[in-house]
Amino acid sequence: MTVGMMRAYNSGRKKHLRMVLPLLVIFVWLTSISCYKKPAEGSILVVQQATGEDVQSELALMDPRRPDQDPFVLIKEFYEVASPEISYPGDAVVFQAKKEPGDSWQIWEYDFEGGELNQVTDADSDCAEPAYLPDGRIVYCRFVPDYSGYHVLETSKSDGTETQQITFGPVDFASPIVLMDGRILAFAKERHPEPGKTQLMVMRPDGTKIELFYESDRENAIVADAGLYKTADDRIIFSEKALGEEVEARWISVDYNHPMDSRVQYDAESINDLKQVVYAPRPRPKKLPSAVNPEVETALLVCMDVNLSENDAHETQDRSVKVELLGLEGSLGTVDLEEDGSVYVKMQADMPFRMQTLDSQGKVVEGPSSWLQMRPNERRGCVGCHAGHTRVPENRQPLAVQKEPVEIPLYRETIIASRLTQKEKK
Amino acid sequence: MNNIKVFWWISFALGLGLLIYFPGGELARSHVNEKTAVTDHPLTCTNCHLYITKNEYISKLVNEDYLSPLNLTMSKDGQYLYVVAQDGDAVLKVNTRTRKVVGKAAVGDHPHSAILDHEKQLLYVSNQWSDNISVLDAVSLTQLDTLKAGNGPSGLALSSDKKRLYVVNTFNSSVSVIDISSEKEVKRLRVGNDPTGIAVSKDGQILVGSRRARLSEYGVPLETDLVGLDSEYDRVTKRIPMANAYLIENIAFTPASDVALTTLIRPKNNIPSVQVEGGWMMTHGIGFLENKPNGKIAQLLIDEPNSYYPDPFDIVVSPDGKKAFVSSSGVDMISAIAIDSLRNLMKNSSQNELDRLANDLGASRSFVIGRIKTGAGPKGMVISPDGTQLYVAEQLEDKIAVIDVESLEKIGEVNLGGPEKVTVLRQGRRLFTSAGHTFQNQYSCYTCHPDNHEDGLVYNMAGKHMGRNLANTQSLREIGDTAPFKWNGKNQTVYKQDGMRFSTILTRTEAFSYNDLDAITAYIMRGIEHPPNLQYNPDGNLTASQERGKAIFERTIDNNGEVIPENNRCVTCHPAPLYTNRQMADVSTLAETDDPMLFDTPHLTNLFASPPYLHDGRARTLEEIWTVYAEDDRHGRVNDLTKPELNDLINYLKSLRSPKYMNDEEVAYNLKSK
Repeated sequence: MTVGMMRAYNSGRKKHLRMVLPLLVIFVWLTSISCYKKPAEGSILVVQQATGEDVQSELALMDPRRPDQDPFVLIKEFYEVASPEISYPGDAVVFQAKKEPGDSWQIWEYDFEGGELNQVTDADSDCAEPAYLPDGRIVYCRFVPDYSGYHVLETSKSDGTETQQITFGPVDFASPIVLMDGRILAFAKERHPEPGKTQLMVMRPDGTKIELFYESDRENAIVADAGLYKTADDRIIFSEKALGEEVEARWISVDYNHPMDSRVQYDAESINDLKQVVYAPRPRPKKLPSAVNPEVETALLVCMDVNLSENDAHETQDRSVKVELLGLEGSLGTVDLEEDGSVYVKMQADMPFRMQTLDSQGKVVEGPSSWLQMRPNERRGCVGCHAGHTRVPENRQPLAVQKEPVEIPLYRETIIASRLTQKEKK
Repeated sequence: MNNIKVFWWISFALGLGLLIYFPGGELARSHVNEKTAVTDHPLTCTNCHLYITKNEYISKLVNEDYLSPLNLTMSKDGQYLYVVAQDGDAVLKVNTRTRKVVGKAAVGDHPHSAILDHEKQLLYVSNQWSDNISVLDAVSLTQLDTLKAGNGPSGLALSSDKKRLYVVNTFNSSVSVIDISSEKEVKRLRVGNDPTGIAVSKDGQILVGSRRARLSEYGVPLETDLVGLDSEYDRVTKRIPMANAYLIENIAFTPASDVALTTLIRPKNNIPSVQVEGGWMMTHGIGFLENKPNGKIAQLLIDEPNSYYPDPFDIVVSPDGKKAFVSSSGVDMISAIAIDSLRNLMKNSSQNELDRLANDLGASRSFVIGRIKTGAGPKGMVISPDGTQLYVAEQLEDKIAVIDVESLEKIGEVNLGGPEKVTVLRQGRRLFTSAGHTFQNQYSCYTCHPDNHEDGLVYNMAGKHMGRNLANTQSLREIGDTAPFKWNGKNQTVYKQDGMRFSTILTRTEAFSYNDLDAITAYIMRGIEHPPNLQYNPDGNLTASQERGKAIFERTIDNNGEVIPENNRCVTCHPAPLYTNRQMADVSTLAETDDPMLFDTPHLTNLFASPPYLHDGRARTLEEIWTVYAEDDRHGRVNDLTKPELNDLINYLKSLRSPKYMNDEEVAYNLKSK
């Protein structure tokens, strides 16, 4: 390369630099502008009532390290705002809100970085208590007016698409939260045929493998209104009230590993609100793959030994010989137990059902159970109806699965009728 | 160079770049999509082609020689640790006060365990892939002698008078009794299948665990043997079938020897694999045996309702007999157990109640008193003679963790001096042994593939319905060039095998990230070796029977003088060097409970080590493949064979070994046959 060429080259390079540098500065400035709303870690997200003539609810950020500073208002266009939750990476907040006093609650998301507000749900009824799923979708409760009113759990992408109802049946779900293993934990209270006690149920984000996580003992009852919370290491916190006594509700915590056997009661009565939404990225729970196949209408259920009891194996073996499946409208059919107490059925998916065991005379031995559900293509096993919550199955091949699953004869007619009714309602 | 030339050079380079980038990119995308069965796997050529290459030089460049400590023992005064470095083919001496390595000696291939004769200051090291025992001076680490053992020597024990060495032979399921003075094997005792762990009580009783269950028909409850030996007469005194358990890796007696404790796994292979929740796939625990006539035997889980502690490997008891420790390599955790709580549980429970507790995830709450996090892959352990410190071999860290026995906290570590860098292959191995990629950490790849092989169990994979599609676990040793995978050959690559569907069907939690998928694939394809086949083919020279079997394997004409159709000759579907043509075949073994499918022709290297056989494990032995399940002659022409001829064929099949051990003559022969 000649000296002349070198000069020309250097001069060209300087010229380019002169062009590039301002562009770079503008880019950095624009980037900083676009991020300026991202809150400082440790800020607290608060819902506050705006002052003025119109009652208005605002979602604002408060920096506890700068008490002299007014809270920074993020959103102020709602009549009422509640239940905010920060996304795992800390880039958005989801909440429930009403635009006008007479509106139903809907789910909204605010994007910190873009400053955009998106409506997630646009349902006819209230949608409330949103929580982020690990894959960015949102789970929330939607009101259903039947059976004096209850809430089902639904999931949706944050843009409102791919909405999926994941619980079915007359069970009122509330306060869903997501455990680190990726499952949803929520309060659940049966509405039909009689109102039941509130329990904690756990399920995968597609509604499969729903099961009991915690229930109160005979002296206490869960108070769902106080909310459901968890610590970073999955210690679950909620409130319970002693039955038949004039005692204030107390905070309870249970351990994720031993929910039924690790109840701790906090007697400090001054604690009355745990809800405090601190802005900070949170560790993301596991993203669980879905086993649901919407093209399949049925699900498979095997019970290893219906007669297995909590205390002693085969204590009630000579008592139950059949299982009856009950739907909302009555019996769906009965299935004979195999010699080993196993039963294997093919159920219509997304339909609530209960089970009860019958003796040889057709009398009820145990049950009916709580409401159960199976999602399309779900395959589910249970150890026994009363085997206890910590019992794992014995390693034996159940006789029932050596045959084809039993389909319940009345079932298909029931679901078809039910679906038609649902369509007519819509 | 004038401007025109520069212009042309730049244009040429740009053109070439565009040509590579656009059509090349599309080709690469389509290639990666095909291999991974997804459309968004990153196009990073090196991730696959660098780490799964068979090129020795590149392989050396990108990989490291790790030590991988497996087991360890300690001097009587607690001053020195002796660490068996399995991948380093060495034993290391560590000063426990300075926590520094003070000596290193090469031993045999793939050493497993070590034991000290404190009085004579002799260190015995079992070399699992050399079939011998290295005898070293414990002070200088000078090798003094080599003792011949059985096949796959692993666990070691000394008689109380130190005159006899008991060597567990994993590969032929026996214990060699070696008279130390004459250096002769004086007896070989048959024990349970695939044993490794051995322990001696204060009064000279010996217990040997086994890892594989007794071979039985699918659906019959599992039984895995604990075998008692009498050290006075060197004979088998009892066989204790541990029901529904397997992988009894190690055993420990309490100091008073009133109790023996073992590690174990309780698999759920007979149950349709429809979920993980509720311990539906695997549970992990300990065995508790009262060491007295008609003493109670219990199995108790160390798992909890929503958390599992998979792959329990070692168990040790503190000198005061109060605490036991179990290493769980699947979750890098040590569980501390209160032995008195166990005793109380045994005392206050009937045998029926104990049997129920074997399936109770809540039981661990009454005896597990702590969990201690370690580095990757905790394996063998030893407690200092004063009972204050627990040393744990962190196999995939090349370190020894030091744990305070009282506070149950990790208080330090010994760096053994292995490579600091975590290579892709090493990361793959860590993923392989970690249960972190299974729902609630219930099991790792290693659980069903112990020693990177297979666990000898048949699982109900519950295809279309729950009672369908039994699958015999397949070995993962040297499968890199044996695609497709799975019995039905549906997965053309390991990337696909371990991808999204794997997480939906098997691990039921978040799928591997692509970086992790690349790493585990690299490990499975290139990081897992076959042991040598020293039992049936130590040097490539076949026995007369094996030679006759080889002729039958390769024959083209049957005993009736008729030409065997090419597709019904053994060698057609099972050609050397891997003994598979990697094609799909129907050998008339489809069961009524199988979904319709052809079967991927399996490779046959080290076939002897993989019973049971056939896709659903129906053949317990190689003989049964043809004497029971080949009536129609569609799995090779065999019904014309006499019994001695069939024996010859089987002897030959047992001699098949990995291509890497083949001598020049065998390689040349195989090339010629090709």
